[in-house]
Amino acid sequence: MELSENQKDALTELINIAFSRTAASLSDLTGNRVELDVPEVSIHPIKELCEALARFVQGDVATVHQIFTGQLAGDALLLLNHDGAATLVGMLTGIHPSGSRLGASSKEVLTEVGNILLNACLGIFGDILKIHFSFTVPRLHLEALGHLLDSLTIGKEGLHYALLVGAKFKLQVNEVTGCLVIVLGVASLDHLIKAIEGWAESAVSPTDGRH
Amino acid sequence: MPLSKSLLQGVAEATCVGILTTDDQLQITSWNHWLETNSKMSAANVIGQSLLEVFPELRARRLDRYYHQALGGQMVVLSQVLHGYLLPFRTDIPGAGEANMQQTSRIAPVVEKGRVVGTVTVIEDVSERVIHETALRARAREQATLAELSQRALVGGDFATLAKESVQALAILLDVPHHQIHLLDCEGRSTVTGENQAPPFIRTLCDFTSKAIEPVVIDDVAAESRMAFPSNAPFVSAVSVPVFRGKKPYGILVLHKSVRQGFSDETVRVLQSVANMLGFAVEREHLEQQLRHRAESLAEEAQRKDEFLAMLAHELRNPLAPIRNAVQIIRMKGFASPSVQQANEIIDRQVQQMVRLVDDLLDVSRISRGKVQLRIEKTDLNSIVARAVESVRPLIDARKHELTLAMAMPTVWLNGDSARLVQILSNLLNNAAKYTDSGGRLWLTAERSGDDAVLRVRDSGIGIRSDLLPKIFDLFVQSDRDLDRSEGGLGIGLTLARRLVEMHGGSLSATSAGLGLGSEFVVRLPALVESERISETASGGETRKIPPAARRRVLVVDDNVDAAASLAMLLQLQMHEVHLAHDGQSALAEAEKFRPEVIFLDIGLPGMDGYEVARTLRRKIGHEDLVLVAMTGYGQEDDRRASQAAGFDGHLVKPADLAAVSGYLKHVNFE
Repeated sequence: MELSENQKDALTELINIAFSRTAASLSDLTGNRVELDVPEVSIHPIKELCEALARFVQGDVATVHQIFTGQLAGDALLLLNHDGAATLVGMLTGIHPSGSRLGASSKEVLTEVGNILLNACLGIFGDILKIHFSFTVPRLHLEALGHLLDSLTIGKEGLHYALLVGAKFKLQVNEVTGCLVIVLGVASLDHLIKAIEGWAESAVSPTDGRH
Repeated sequence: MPLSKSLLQGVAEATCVGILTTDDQLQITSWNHWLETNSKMSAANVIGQSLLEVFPELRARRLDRYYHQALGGQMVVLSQVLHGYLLPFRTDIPGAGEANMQQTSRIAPVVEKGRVVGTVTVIEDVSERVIHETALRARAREQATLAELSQRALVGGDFATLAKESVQALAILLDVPHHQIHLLDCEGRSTVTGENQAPPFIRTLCDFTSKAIEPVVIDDVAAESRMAFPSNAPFVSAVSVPVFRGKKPYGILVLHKSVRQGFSDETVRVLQSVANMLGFAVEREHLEQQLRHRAESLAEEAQRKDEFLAMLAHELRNPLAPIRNAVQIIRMKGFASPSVQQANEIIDRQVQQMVRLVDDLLDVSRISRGKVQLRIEKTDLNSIVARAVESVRPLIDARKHELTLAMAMPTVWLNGDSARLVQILSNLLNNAAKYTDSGGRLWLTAERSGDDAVLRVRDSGIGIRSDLLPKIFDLFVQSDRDLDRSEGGLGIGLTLARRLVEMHGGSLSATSAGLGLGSEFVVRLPALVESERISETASGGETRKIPPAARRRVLVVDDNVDAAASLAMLLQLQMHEVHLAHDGQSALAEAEKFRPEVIFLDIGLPGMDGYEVARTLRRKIGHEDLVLVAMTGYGQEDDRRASQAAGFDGHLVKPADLAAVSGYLKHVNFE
């Protein structure tokens, strides 16, 4: 499955809205102006996800993971390099983790940031699809990328795709790059993309209010 | 399978976290035991109440929006770092002070049949963790600061700057204004400002701490009974730690505050660590200063010694000249008896020995002052060996040594000052002969070894003590022995030899198996590659030839009357007509009157020196063919150039050899 240019544009626009809300929340929380850019959006079969992720994260990764259920079900993840995660915590809180370990406080901050971002993205999808999601409590994992990808495929039947969105956090002169991944079954993904197309069409062709 | 309500209630009551639930209007529907304990509010009093009215702070802090998000179906995560706490509870944890319990929270929607019907909030007390993490961060900052300051102290540099930076770093670390931190010496002077500006109360603290030799903590000056502070002391609490320079007290490091405050052990420890580092730095600066002064003194001493040696050697040369002349005169006049001849030979030998000693002394002094220049030319090892053996042969024969010679086959070419190289090898051979009992064995080997020209001098002599071997090349070091010291010596020869070898880019080393087991000295010099051949060095210089004549008119000018008279006597014995003068003006007058052909002119004349006399003579018309020969104790290249520049045709170093003097009366040439 590939995204057409129109689909890609529509999806990027939606993600931008979600990211703007996320940036606004983080700015409000921290008292600093936080920006969140969307470098690119793509779709990959889950088998090819590792290769696609390599451009954003490598080695040990910090992942905020939420499972969502309902009419659409899948996994939503925010992935950051371990060092990038520590940098992001430092950027947002002024507390720089010492050494290579992320302490409990830093992990909580990452969980909260991931929760805000995933909520914003899935919330946007819920709005256009006019459905509700149920979410699990977000969990933070610190593990090798390979282990994480294995856990995403175990127990899943049928073909699954990953919607991959690069995410660049910026605060003053610092920036950290990570990515958002939403893993869906092919049917759910098809449903989502059609809904996004419909939204995009209604956005560019507003109904004529004259009688 | 959904869990039963009673099971959920049991879990909520047993857990170590706070769990509260609300309906979709945020009315509190459950309040677990943990919340009762920590809020001091019973479940009966809060259930049914609006959460936002029980805790109006939630609205004030805009945390109510998270409950509305949850009611919208979203999970909410509230980290302690970004929010501090959700519900305002006090905490009894030590170290928390007046702060509220620090919490991390989750607010989740309660969904039934696809509709959000309420919220559930889980609250965890993370106060201990926050205190621990804060302490860890403080400790990390402290260690980083101490590491940086220690690094600065190790590198060295200006102590006042380090002290100032330390006070500033401490102020940042301890979060106090820097004017509340003082570093004082035992006199009460501020090390940072250099002035005696410390307020009286600091002086009191300084005196007490210096005597206590341990940290002094004052939580409340009003309650302080160990010291008497002025009533207007502008501080309430203070901690003062001693600073030691080595084992001696240097001063104190003081932190004072205008509020009553207990100082933690960590604060005292940080201050003492910085104080210790500053003590090390000030001791280091003191030692460096001492070393510098010592080095300067030693350098001055060495210079004075070198100048003294130069002056001494120069002065010693003067009396030697007339003695040598007298020896020549006696020889030329004939000996009245064999004993007179023997006595004359003894005097001659001793004069030559003295000349050698004085020359060595002068050489060592000049080399130390960098005033020796080598006259480098291509030369070969075998010729050096031959000349050195020739010069030492009399001593070797006198002591009945057997000399085994191994020349380099083929010879080894090298760049060097051949006179100096002969001097080096002669010195080593001389020592070998001197320090070997009569009838001993000497070995001299010349060879190429790789890129080096190597000379080895080995003897079967008295050997060198192992503790003396490392110092054998030091100036004035001799083996202390009770042996006959008839050959004498000043302990200069090896020092001179090594320095001359090193000036050639080579090395001189010594080995010995011990006392009575002989020794070996090895000279290594850079050799030329096989293909390079010797090239004749062009000899420059002006040549003024005098047609040979049986008799010359000679003027001898020297303020040393004996030296002048003895040289005059020698020249007269050679049938020359000789006049004398003892100062510059007399020399000029005599030159006008006597019209000499050759003038032997001492440089060191009183008043007008020999250079000035020479220049004056050269300016006068009628003296163009005059041969001027400088007579001086200085024979370096610079000295010869100065003579040439003044107009001299020749340069003789006192005490001059009769043959050299006579040579000028036949043929004059600048070397």
